[in-house]
Amino acid sequence: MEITPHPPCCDSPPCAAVEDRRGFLASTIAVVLGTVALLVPAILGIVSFFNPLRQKSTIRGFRKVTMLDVLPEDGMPRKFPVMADLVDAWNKLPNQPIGAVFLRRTGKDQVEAINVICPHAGCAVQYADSPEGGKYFCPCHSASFNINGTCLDESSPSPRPLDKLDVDLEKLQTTGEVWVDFKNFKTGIAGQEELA
Amino acid sequence: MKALIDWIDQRTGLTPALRNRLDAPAGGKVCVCKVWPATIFFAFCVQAITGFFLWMYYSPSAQTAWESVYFLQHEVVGGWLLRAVHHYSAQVLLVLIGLYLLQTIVLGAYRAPRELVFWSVVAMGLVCLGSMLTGDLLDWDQNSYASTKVRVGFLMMLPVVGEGLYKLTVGGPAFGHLTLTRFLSLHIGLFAGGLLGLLVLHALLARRSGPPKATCCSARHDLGEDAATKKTVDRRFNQAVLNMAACLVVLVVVLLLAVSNGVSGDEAGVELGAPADPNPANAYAAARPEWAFRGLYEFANSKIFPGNVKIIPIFIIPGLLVCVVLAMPWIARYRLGHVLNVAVTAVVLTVIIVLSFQSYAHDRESDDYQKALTAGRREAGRVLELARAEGIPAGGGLSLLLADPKTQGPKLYEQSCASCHNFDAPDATDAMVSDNPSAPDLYRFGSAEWIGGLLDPDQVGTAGYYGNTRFATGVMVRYVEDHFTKLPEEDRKAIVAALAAEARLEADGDDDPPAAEVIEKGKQLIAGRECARCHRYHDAGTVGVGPDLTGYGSREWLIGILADAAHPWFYGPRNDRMPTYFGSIDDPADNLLTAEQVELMARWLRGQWYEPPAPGEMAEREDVEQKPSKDRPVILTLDKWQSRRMEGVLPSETGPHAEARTLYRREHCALCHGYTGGVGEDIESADPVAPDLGNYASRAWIAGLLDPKQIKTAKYFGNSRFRSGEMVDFIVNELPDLLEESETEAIVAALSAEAALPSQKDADEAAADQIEEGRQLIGDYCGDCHRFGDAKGAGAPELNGYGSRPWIIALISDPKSTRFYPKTNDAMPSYLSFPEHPGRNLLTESQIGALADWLRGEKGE
Repeated sequence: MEITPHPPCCDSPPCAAVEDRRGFLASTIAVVLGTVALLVPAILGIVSFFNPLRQKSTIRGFRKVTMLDVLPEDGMPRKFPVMADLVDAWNKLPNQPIGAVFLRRTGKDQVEAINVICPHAGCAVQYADSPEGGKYFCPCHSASFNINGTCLDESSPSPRPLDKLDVDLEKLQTTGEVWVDFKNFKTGIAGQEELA
Repeated sequence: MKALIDWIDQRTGLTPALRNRLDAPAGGKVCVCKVWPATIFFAFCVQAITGFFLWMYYSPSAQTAWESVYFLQHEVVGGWLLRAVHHYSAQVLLVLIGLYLLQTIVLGAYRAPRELVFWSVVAMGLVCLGSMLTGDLLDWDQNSYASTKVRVGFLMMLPVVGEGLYKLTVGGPAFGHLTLTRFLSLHIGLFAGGLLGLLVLHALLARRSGPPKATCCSARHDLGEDAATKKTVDRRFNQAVLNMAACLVVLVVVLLLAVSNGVSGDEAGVELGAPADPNPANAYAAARPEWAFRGLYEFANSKIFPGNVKIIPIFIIPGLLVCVVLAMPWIARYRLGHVLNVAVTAVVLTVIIVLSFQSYAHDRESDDYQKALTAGRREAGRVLELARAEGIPAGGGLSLLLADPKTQGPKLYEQSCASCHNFDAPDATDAMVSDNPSAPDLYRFGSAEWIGGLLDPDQVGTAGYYGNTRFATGVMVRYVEDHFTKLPEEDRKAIVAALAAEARLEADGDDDPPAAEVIEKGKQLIAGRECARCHRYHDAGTVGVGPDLTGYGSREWLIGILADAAHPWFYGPRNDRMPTYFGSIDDPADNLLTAEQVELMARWLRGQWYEPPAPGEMAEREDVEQKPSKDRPVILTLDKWQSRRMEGVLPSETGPHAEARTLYRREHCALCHGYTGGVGEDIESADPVAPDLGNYASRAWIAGLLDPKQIKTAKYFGNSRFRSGEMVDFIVNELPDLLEESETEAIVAALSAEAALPSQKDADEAAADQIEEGRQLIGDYCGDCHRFGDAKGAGAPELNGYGSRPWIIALISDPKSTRFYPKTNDAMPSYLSFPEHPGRNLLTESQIGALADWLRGEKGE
């Protein structure tokens, strides 16, 4: 048995020309109304989607990392976590490792601080001691740096030397505490720009 | 039944639509080349179905993502297989799309009017890659975290929009909860949903465009198409069967891959690494992309592109390549265009495959990579043991791992301790050894073996113990050299056994444990004069001289000394460079380690951590507690130490010679030497075994020394090893018969004049003749032993300049030098015997100078 579709309740046959014009107008209006209706939820969603652009990093600032006495006198670098309160969306976690630095003595009471993050792709570089002198190298893409943080070869994947961080010399010399102005930088670019 | 089907069909048109759908793409001959859309759709369905159920178990947040995957993988029945099928069908789906794309290009099936059909396949491939990238992170294990971080970090290379894109992807400035929620919704909503949309679009477009003019089969049968259409029903049906058979093959492949790691045990299915640790200090060093990106990874790593132009291999070239592929239908319009397309495809594909193989080959050969991989797997296995024993706390699997001494101890030691302390374990993987340690080796600290070495005169002064510390020639080393060795052997053994017993080391794998009586005897010896003279030991001894020996090497003791070695119960102000790792309970940010890390280090040094019972052991050891031991909370222990901080603190000195007087007490002069009747208040020695130094070298003091009645009293040599020595013997038994009283007085005056004390300046000047006579007598009577003037002496202290500032400084610096007591020194430390290594000396030259000035009664500041 074939079923014939039930005619719509409001279907009256107007003349063809009128239908064309009316039809065009009607579909335009329909499209506009539909778009507007859909835009409202879409905009709501998109606004929330873009919220991360407003979020600023909370990690920067001077942090106490360690004591001068802990650093070997021969100038070997040591890796230390940098601790601070960490905000992860709705959680505030007190005293968490927010980054890590290599510290090494460059004099009796001089300390150099280097962010462990490789400027190429953001992996953490490691330190390797060798008879030819120590170097930093990145396990992800094999960038290598000498002990000052400068790139060891010209075709290094890293666009710039390792990022140095400021050490509070006054605190270092008066209290023996190593305070580092910790921050992260954008990776993959030649210039040193802070990642805020 | 038929009536029901008819009823449904009339209302929905289902059967005709289905028939239509199943038959339509076949068009011509039944052929394997037409199975791709069906298999791709099938693989997608597998993804959708398994994905839906994975979703039921998944919890996207930094503390629950890994944990929920762990739960699915190891606790839910068949969970590992569900996860493995989802994982491998994704890989297979990508391969299928790739093969379909390849066939379309090679056969030229992208030609008009099928351009959009072709594009939809390219888009499917891209969406599939996106889906893999987002899905990868959801495990939130070490590899997925580290490799995603790299990938997303590449966005920062893009000019202008880079940072914004990065933040939008990550959900903020750093990885965390919002990264997971974003990746999950992108994975499901955008990529899985997008793939479904593309599949539908592809089907619609393909139908509209009709069958490709050139396929592998139709090319040969073009001429016979009319004949072929007559039998379409048959053939179309066969194509549907072939499609379903192909889907079945896909399923079998997926299942085989899923069980390739076995069907039971922890390794079954897809590997789940240890939970991601956002601490860059613990970064995972074996992060690598999935196989599909290995070619790009190796390409981007190529030395052709230095660091500042990495944007070329990572974004520009792949982007251009996609554009070229999208443009292929138009390129093919030119003569040889199609040949060019195929050639480009072949070259690119070959390059990708070669680079991928190269990349894997590099990793196979790289020791560093293999080491990092092994280390990661060890942690993954360990966290499994811990999660099974303890359950996962609210802080997540990571908190479990971070509190585990077995895996974290070595890392923490390397970071915080190894620059001074070696850890010379026989097992090379655990050993941390530098050439120039400045503090004792802590391997098996507190064990009988370690303590035995400490109390061995041949070892205590070496780099393994105090050799490179400021205690290198200090009181303890001198005690071991001069006194401990003289104890009977059984006493020595008893002391070692009793002290080792204080640590209560679980891992003391001693086959022949000392008897209880031996330990008891050792305890009494320690509590007696032998050790308690300087060390607190339970109720005996004083606080503030040497480190507390109560529970030496125990968890509580180690927590105390690790937290603050400069605590008066340990080294107090004599502490040699050991930092205060946990100085304040109230201000956690001021501490170098957290309370948990301090405890972890204490437990690791003691070898105290959870080990799961060996498989066969379960049944036998039911009575033994299988759970990790629960100690009292570390914060209580820290609090106990903190509350003792005021006990044993030395009184602060003021007034003239405050520095010297402080040093006299702090650096243990007062341990043996009293100070009576000199400048300032008297300083009493608790146990005077050496001469009292009040008014040292004055006439009265020397007169007492040469008085047979006084020299054997506690003020001089009464309690020292010299009480039965040659000097005392000479003074008591011979001198009275040899010298007149006036001659003795002359000697006293002459010897005291050597010191040139400021208080005796006038008296010395007035008695020049007497002094001259005394000098003669000293040469005659003392010169056999003491070097003086022309007399060479023999082993007794030099008397030239006796008591003068340089003489006192030299004596304090090194009483064992040939000028003083090279053989007969009685446990006096050498306070400055390594002028070239300031770190190994107890005092500086100026400090010793201050002491000399005070002892000589110089005008103080």
